[in-house]
Amino acid sequence: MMFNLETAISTWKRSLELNRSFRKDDIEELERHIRDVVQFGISNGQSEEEAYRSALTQMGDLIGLETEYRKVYWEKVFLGKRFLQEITWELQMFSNYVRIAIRNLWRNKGYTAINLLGLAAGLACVLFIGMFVQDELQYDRHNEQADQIVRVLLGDRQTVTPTALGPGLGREIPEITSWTRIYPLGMYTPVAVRRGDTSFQESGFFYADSSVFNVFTFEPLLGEMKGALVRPGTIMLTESAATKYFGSDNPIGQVIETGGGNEFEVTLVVKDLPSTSHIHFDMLASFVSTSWASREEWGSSNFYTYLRLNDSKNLPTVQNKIDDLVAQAKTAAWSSIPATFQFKLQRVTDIRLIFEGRRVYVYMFSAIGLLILLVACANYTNLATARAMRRAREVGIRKISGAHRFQLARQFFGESLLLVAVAMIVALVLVYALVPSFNAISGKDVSFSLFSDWSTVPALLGVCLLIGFVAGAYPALVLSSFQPVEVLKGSSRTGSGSFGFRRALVVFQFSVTVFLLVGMLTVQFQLDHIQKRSLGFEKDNVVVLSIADRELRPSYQTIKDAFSVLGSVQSVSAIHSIPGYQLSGYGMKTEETGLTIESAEDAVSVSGIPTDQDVVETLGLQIIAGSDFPKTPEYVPENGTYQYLVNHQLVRELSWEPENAVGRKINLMGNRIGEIVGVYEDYHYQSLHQEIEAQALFIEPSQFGFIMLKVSDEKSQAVLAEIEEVWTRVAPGRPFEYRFLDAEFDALYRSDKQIGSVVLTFSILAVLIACLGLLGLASYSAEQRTKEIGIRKALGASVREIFVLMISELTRLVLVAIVIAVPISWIVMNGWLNNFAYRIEMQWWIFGVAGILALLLAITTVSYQSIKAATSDPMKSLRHE
Amino acid sequence: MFSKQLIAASLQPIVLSILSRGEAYGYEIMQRALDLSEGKLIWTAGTLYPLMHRLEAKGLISSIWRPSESGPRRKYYRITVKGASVLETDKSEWIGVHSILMKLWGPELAIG
Repeated sequence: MMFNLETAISTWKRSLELNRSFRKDDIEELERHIRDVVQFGISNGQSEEEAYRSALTQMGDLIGLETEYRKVYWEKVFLGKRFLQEITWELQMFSNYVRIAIRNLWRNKGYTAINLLGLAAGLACVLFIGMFVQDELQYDRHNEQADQIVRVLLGDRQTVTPTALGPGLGREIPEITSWTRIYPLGMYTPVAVRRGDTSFQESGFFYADSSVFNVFTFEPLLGEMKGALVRPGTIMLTESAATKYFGSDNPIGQVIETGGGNEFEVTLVVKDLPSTSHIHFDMLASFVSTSWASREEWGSSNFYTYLRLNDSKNLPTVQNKIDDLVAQAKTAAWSSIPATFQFKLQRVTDIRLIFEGRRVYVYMFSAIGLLILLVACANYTNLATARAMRRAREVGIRKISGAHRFQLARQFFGESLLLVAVAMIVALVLVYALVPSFNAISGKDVSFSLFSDWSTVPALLGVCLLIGFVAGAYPALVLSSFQPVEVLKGSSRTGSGSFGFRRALVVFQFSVTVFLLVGMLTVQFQLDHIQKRSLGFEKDNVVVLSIADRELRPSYQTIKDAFSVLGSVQSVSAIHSIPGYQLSGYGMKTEETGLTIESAEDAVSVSGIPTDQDVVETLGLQIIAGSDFPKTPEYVPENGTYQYLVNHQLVRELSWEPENAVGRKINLMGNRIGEIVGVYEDYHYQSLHQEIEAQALFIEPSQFGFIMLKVSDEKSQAVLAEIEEVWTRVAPGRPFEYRFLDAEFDALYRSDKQIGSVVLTFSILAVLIACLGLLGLASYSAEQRTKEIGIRKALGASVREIFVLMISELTRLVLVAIVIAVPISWIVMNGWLNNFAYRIEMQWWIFGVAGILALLLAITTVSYQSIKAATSDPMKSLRHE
Repeated sequence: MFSKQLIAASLQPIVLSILSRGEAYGYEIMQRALDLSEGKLIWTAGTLYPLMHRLEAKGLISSIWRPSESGPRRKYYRITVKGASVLETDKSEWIGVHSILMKLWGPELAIG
């Protein structure tokens, strides 16, 4: 074809006219420029075509030219001249993108549904996980200046401290602006509280110094906080406790009674503590009402001590000062402190996350959330690229009509953003609907509201944008890069370029699946291990009744005798606090360190539990040296004649042997000199999260809190009826509120179980989302290979061979995923297990099970499509298209 | 050929200087620069024309379409009063730099 300058110029002109960066004037000027160059070239002896080509070369490439013009254009636009016009144009383009996106999504309903479902489920999971994590991070933050509040621990883990600690610290250390002691009486033994005919056993009955209001933040509803717990015999109620006893009456100035005939006047009602408080109580009586108030002692540790510092940064300073105080023990109040005592400060905001070990779960759930999100994104990306083949023509036509690569990319981003936005709406609906179930599974008390916090909506929009971009990036970049000529000629295998990437995504998804399966199994086995671990005592078939009031306690022997005669009761025993909840700490002296209290420096900290003679039988403890308590009901403990049973750990700590421990004399602080009669094997007197420490049992009826009845069958109504009949006779007027030792002990693991079920739920969902993506992918690949399968069948391939062909590729990908996931999950889960005092070892078969499970899931997911493809009639599939 | 940075920096003063000797159209400006530099100053249309837009937007030059005896009309540029004063500033700066370099590269002078 002959070169025609005019045709060439007008084609060139049209390509510029389609571009919004050039105005008519500009094009005219450029055209004139080209013509001048051409003229000059011709006058220098070039041909018309040569001259034109060199003119274009001089012009610079179109993209560079456009960029320069666009810059100038926008500079002018921003000068204000055509800003509005430009905005209108953008909006029009935007609505165009949206319209095309909707059409595209609607035309492929199956694809859209799979994507939408996967994204919505993923987003809902992520929202729930976000709420979970947020709730955990919120613990104790309801207090003003929460990071100034610290709790004092005795040693590394003991939360209860001596009475002398709070006042002693307050006097000596100026950085402490206030201190308060909380005596969690109800936690040791429930307190019977009565008002008129209303009577309950309250485990949330605590005592506190009136300075509790300076340390913690409360919301007063009725009464004044100032002076509320100053007088003896005053009490503060939470809103729900007030309603329980007073209904709609105003409780201020009214009186409630506790078991021993003590009366407390209600001076303050506050709002219930939020569920995100590490400490929970329903009533706080004034500390000055207890006999402890007048005594500052180091001997018995029953009290939580909290401090408020003048500056949160001063924690290390205060810690050093405390260490010095203990080491020097100079002042009178500190002189009698046992030298083995060490106090450790801990911020209340660290209690939940660090002390109670919830930070691991925060990390774990954040990671699961992120993985779910990535799996959902991978689904989208995968399906969108798989569809690239079909959309290649569309891209070609659009490009020829003058669409820019960057406009096409915008179109594809628009589609992913639209889908994510719709998915987010579905997810929000799901979250609203499922909050109660989530609370039931997780044991939390979260609520979801879009507008309760200013940051929620922007955060959600941010998440939408992020996912839209992450999920849409690859399809947008790949699809928009297609060359129109190739695509329209149909010569390029557009699907194959992205094939490697899609395989990588499938491998990623299945690595995540295998990882989550391993994690899920490990968590379940570890929790199971904890609960099934031999506790060292028999928790089954023990009914527990509270006798912690002044009238019942002295008559415990009568009560015991009344129960002993019942046929269904095998053994009866009284104890201060039940296993799982045995907190109280004593300083213990031995003959080596001098038995008298005056020289208390060398005391060893032990858990001291007052019991009666039959505790070994009732709890099924094992005596490994010496003997059980002598069965002498008339025995009355007094200084010098105390009898002790000590655990194996105590013997170990003192580097004794069980055999030679028997007969040694010890003194549990407070004039309890006596002799060790026997050594029992360690049992878990606290939860399995805590290691067993030194413990001593001794007989002291004045401290009894519970009667424990070992029965033949606690589930039997007849047995319970018999017990109730005796109870109403021996404890008239007291509610028959019985508990079961096994249930009380299991309650310690409620949060572990909840964590287990939350992990389980989310892991299953993540795996399902991954399978959903695979399902979509399988149907596309089956569709694309219709012809191939038809030809293979026509040439004699069997159904089985076709099926194997279809799944062999997938199987290989899953195997690769297993190889990747196994070491990662081994490292991560082993790290998690290290958080437990008593842990299982990683089992190789868990990986086997997870791998096989993942493979089965993958094959099941694609088998429907594969079988359908394999059994299809080749005649039909070859006629297809 | 000059370096990219130098071309970019010298673009404005050169264009303004050419226009200070009388109005000209784009291609003419380019040719003039090419001749004066003995082929060392090669601008593309993509560099020159956007610059003309910018200078016009800043009010340093103005433009007018004039019919041409051969072919389509041409857009002519001329320097404005403001452009002339900016050129004076540019000039003194360039001369300043030039004289520093000359002193440095010339025969060494005894100082002090």
